[in-house]
Amino acid sequence: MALLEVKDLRTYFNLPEGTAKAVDGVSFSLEKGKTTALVGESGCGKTLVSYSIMGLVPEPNGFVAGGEIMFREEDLLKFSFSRMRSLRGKTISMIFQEPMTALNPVFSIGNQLIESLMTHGTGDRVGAKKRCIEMLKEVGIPGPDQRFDEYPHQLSGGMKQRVMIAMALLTNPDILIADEPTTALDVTIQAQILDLLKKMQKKYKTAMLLITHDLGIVSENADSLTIMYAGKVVEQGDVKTVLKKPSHPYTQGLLRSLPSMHSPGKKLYSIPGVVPQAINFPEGCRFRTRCIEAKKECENEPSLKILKNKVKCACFFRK
Amino acid sequence: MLEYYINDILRSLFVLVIIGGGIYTVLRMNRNRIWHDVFRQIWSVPIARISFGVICLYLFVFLLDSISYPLFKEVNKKHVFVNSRTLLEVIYTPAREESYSAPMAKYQFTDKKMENKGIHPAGTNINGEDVLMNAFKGIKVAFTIGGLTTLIILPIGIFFGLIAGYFGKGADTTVTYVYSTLACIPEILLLIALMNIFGNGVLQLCIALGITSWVGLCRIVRGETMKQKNMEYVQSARALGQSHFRIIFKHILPNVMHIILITSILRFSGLVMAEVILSYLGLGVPPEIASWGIMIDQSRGELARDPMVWWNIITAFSFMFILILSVNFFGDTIRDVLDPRTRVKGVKA
Amino acid sequence: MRVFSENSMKEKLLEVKDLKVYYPKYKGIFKKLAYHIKAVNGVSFSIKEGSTLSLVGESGCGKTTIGKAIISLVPVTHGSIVYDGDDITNIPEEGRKKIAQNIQIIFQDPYGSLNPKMKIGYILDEAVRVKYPGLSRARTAEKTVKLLEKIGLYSNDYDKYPHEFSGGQRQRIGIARAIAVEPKCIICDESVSALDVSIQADIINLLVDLQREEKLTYLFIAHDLSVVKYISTDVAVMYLGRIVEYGSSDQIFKTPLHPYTISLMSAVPEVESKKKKRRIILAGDVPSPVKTPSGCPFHPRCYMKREECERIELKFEEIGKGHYTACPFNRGVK
Repeated sequence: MALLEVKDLRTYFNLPEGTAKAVDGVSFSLEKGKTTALVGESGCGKTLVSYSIMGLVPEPNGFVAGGEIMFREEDLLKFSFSRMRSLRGKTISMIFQEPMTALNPVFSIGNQLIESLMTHGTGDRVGAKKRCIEMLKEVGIPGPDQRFDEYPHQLSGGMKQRVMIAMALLTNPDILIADEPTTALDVTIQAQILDLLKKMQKKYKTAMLLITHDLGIVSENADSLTIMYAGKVVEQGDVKTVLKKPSHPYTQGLLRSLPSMHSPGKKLYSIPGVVPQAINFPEGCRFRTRCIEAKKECENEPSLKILKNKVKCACFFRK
Repeated sequence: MLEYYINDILRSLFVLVIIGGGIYTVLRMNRNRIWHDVFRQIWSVPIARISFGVICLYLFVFLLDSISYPLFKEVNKKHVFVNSRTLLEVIYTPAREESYSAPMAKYQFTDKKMENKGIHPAGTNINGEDVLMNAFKGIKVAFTIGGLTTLIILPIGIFFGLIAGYFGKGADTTVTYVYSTLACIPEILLLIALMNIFGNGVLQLCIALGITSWVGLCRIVRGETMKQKNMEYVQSARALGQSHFRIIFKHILPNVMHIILITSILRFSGLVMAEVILSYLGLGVPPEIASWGIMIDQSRGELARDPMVWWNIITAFSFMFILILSVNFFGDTIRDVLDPRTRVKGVKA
Repeated sequence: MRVFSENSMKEKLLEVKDLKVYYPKYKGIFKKLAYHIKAVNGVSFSIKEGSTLSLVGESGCGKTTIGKAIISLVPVTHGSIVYDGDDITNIPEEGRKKIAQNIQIIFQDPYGSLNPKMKIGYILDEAVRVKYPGLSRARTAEKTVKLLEKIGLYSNDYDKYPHEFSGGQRQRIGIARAIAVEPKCIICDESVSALDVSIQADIINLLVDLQREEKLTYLFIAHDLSVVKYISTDVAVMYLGRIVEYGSSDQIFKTPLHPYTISLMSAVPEVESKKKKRRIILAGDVPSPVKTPSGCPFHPRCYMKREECERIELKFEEIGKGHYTACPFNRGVK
């Protein structure tokens, strides 16, 4: 049973050069206790999807042009500002990419943790502080009592990200959106953080939306996978199936260009061309300008259809 | 007799060349892709358009007031030089009265009828001079002070800012020491002291203002230079073995230009106001030259009179206010467009 | 076109001996020396002509500092850098031009490494003129256009500004600038780290092609192990300013010896894990070079730490042929 269902989401930008259809008909769902990965390169619209769910689309240029986001049988897009605000941070939480700038440097981390609890809970400050210190211990911060009063600049990148995770999970949210949570971190710290997220998810049964461009992280941490290109979903399905036998030409190209897939000496495969800008998305299948299998039919837009192996794929030439 | 003609022609040409050069530079910049976009963006803001129009009007009057030819009088069968007459005076020739008269009034204060039945839209001052004419002449002073002072500040501020920011250590310490000391002295007091030494005069005022104002620009250029110095394109230039001179002037300076432009435009209004204040204190331009500050100074006792003479100070103030407001709006728009932080970026997914 | 025979390949085109880069920190009103930040703490290696040596490590290990120290962009506190027999440690700015024709550098950030106010044609002209100073403007422009075509751009891109290009294209321009002076050795400082996966593949292909055509020597600084594995001849793993393991690419990736190397490799998430990986999760944070631990720098986080590790003196020992490690306790044990 899907906890959150995004149906045909469209988010556009009004720019002086025209309307940029940055997210153009994206659908996926989140299940309790499972992780859905949203994968794509820069310019595909994945971060914008997360902002649309949270109601944080940058104004004045950006706006949600259509679609539904069903959560507990209600459409989030129809929520009023104040109702969305009461959901944010309490039921749906978000972890951002840059731990360096996501915490306010002038407040102690304890202050910021308590603030998020107090906004959404009772006025009991003492109880809130106890819960925060417990949470800090759970995410693996040594000496949580002292750290509570420290400031963000006294912590390392990995620590800051753990604090962000603590902040996000304090209120026991149903949904956690993690937007490239480990891109700015070192590899060994990345391993720690991903391990922590898995542990937390198991304990609290949170549904997680993991946004990333790293297929390695996806293969080890996600259950289902949605691949985006130029604002549209091109492939969607179970992680193991998609990564083992990719269907869409774009997914195939992505996997083929990973250096780990090649032995040294053989030329790396690279997808020809560049990602188009949101203003100039091509008509029809948006990948056709770079696809080696492109034919005349690709001038029409392919729809997502279910293939034999239960994976959804948006290509005319796949069964 | 010929010298006077040459004198006036040279002076007129000088101003024409400067304004012509300015227009030509802007048109050349417009051909460049980047600047064309910048201009288009500035033009798309209504306030900027209005401000620009107002500034152009002021500049037009300034231009008219700068083109002149000499006037002679026959005395004992010899031509004697009387005065230079500017184009402005040719177009707008108010009559000279004897004393005060209210705007659009028919009678002077001295109960005499107006000479030549003239109409004075802004009244006349104690000497019977047309107030509006004086205000127009004040424009010339304002632009001269603003422009000349900026021309003095720019090379000093930019040079020391670049040196201090790029070389650091000794050079930076020296420059910082100098401008910090200078900045500790209250500007007004320093200006008063300098003007007492130099004496009254337009050029002296420009130099004095230049000495007190270069510090601000220098600080900003220094900060921006230090930021650019650590950028990788500068490291690349160093790795290619480029000389310091080349790196500073060919690489760093163009990237500091935008902030210099913004600062200079916004400071222009400060300079105009400084002149007004100093002339009011009697330390600015000599009282024979008509400037807004002199007008305000002259109107000191007038407000207490019965009947009150308000048109002198109000006219001077309005002219100054409108110019400074327009320059500020225009400068703000330029800053919004050029400042890399506030620029509207494309869609980031 | 250079003609080479295998025998003429220099064994040590670039040699670094006991390199130390310390940044002093002063405290107090009287600017007393409080401590040193030991960014690079005794590093030695050499690169054979025509090969690629990769420096791998996480933030704070000093790899970027080494790259910059080699071409004197940061001052060297101790040790020497020898290129083709000449000592090039701490070259003054005036003598820079000669070195610039032999060693060049490509930076990480495609957005900051090109002057935004300069046309890319002029940027490349400037580089061409380092090698051919007397050339007329027209001839310089000719060479620039040839460079543009070599990296896959077009002649009418000469008049464009950096912001009109994508990240991958800008990185190509950075590469063109580096090869314009026809150097023998190029330092790639995280040159592909800021790019998307498919663009990364493009750039790596270009670098490999150039190496083959012009017989270039690369010092490749990176943190992405899969790229390093693909492109390197030799690998040096760095931790906290020191090399902890050194060997050929095969040796390091097939038989890693040092515990840090092993943890690093196990931490990388892979798409196709044929065997179930025993994931080693390191405790604690990546250290900063401000307070270096006593003895072995890795001991606070090492999963096979023993008591002696806090006190031992670091010794680099050769285990296999050309395969060195700094950990005395891990000999061929995985």
